[in-house]
Amino acid sequence: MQGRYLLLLVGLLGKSLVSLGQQNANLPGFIPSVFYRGHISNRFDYNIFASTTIAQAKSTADGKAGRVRESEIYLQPSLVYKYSKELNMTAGYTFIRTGNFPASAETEQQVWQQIIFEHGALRGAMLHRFRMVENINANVSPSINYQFAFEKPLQGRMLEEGEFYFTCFNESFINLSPGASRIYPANWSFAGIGYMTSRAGKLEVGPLVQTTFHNQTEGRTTLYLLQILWTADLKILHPKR
Amino acid sequence: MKTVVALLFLFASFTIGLSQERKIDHRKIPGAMTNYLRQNYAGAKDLEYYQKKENDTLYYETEFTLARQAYNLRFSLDGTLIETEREIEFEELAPPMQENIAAVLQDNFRNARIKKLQAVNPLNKKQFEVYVKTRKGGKYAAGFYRVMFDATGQLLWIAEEELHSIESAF
Repeated sequence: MQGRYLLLLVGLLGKSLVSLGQQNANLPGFIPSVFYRGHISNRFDYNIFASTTIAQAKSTADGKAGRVRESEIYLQPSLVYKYSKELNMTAGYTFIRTGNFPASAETEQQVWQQIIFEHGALRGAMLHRFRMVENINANVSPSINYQFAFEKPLQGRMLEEGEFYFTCFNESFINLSPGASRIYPANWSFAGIGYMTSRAGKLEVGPLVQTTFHNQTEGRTTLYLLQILWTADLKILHPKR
Repeated sequence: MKTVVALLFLFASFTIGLSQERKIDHRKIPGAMTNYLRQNYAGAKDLEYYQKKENDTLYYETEFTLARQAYNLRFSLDGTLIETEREIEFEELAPPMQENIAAVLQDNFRNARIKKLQAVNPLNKKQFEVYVKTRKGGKYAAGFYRVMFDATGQLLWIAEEELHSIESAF
């Protein structure tokens, strides 16, 4: 069973590396991320997610072509309503800042609402997430993101301390703005291996492929990122004595 | 990147022995356990076997379905049955038992809806474990509860289930 997940992971990784050599719109990089889950009550939790994408991009400045380090900072607090174990509703805000240099930096702010449904599948957990996003910076441009994810402990039935797990997801971005040049502007795919620590939460590593589809003349840009995600909760603030 | 993944899997294979529960092959379970399952649950499907460590004691557990019911059986290392958990329908209970459970739920909760019912027998004492979802207005606040009954339908205890949010980064 573990071999099957390893095969999927290596397949995604291999596809990424092969594609890197074939298309010049592909950019390698990495994305360190932190996800904190805080407890408010038996009905409400809050989450804070932060990441920074670091990728090398080609650019032209003053008529000279060169490579610069492109980065994107992502900060996302949200409030979760736990309707049941299987169904959660969340409202959140996302701040995105792109570009390294003040002159070229752009910020984007979004508010969003989402519904997450989780069910058992293949002796693991499958998750479906529907997120309605509104961009609040420029003209209102709503979009719907659909993510399906799968997570499975690699040892027992439940993920416990000191154990590894397999995780993957695919997220489709659907643009609902009237007159949008692309209805399907982006897609993200991830497959990785995680480890549950005893006190410091979970650590996940794996390739994350972020594809942005431009209009027909510009093609697409794909980021092949190594994602390193640290997921923590209250245990990190109140360790066992 | 490939090296990182390979190292992670190598580390994973070393830590499997440290985990609290691990899946095992059917050839590794005791013969007494195999015989018991063969004699008592001949038509069992989707059998999975686990070795579990709880309070420094090792057990074997098996999970399977039979006649569309989910079973979880626990055995000692020598293959002696210790505990049985079986998911059942409320209608399967004897009518007096149904009445007792319904009365307790009505007395404590408003609009209690049974989400899951299990027949269990820890330490050879037959008990019923009822998972309910309730609305605001009863003795207990709206939420999810685990209610335990003895073999006669008498209430043993009520505990609120802790809800954890579904983890989804990005």
